[in-house]
Amino acid sequence: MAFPPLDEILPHRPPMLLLDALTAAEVESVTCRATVRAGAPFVEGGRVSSLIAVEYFAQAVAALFAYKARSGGGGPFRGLLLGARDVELAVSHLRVGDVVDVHCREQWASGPVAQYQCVLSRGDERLATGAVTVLRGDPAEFAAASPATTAGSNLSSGTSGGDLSPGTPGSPRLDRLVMGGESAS
Amino acid sequence: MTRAEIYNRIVGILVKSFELDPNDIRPESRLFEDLDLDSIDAIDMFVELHEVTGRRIDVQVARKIRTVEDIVNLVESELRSASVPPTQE
Repeated sequence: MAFPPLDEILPHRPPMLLLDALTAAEVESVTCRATVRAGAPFVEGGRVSSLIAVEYFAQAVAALFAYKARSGGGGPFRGLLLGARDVELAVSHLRVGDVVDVHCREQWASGPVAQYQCVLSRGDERLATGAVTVLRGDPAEFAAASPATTAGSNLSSGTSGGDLSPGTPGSPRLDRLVMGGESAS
Repeated sequence: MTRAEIYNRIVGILVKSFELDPNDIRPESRLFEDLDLDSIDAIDMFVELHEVTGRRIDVQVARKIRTVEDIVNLVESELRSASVPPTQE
């Protein structure tokens, strides 16, 4: 099945569009492919921290939202990355030239809030796992209904991170990070 | 699941997910003020509660929760609802 190019459905643009293509999409799951390229954001000395996985996860979920919005005939979607949790990194870095798959599956959703369990892999090798929590819909409307939820980063802006501590917007929110392994060659 | 079992399960979730000291958790403990959780923690907790109840807790209901005992009441209610067979049409 052919999927639309990501730059047709996502507002992200290079260099912050980190994913190459949408390769699979179901109602509650998505798979995208990405290639680590020289000159890409956060790439230094031919490698990038595997923490980039969190941005891959966020963009893959955004791709799922955008694809479903387009399939349903809807207009542009809005969304917000609220946070990441239980992120486990099996390698410390990815290297330029690495081709990776990003798979995210919805594990919980209620109203506009959903959490996706995500896996970053290279072939059969699991490089990173974690859960990302996202808000589907217009962040301004949700913030108006829930004053505590006023921050986060816009899924459609190509940035990630966001703190949801009541009344303290700002720094990225990442809970329970486990780093292990050395740079994969 | 008895009410005491529900309470113990919730305490277990709070300890495991948010690295709280079980001695600091009481039924009347307020989630934000006493246990220092925030709204993202609350979402993570509802994901865990989904594992307990098998039901997706509505965000509007979740917003009304203030204390550990509120969670126990919610889970008890959800489990009771889950055990009632759906009405035949």
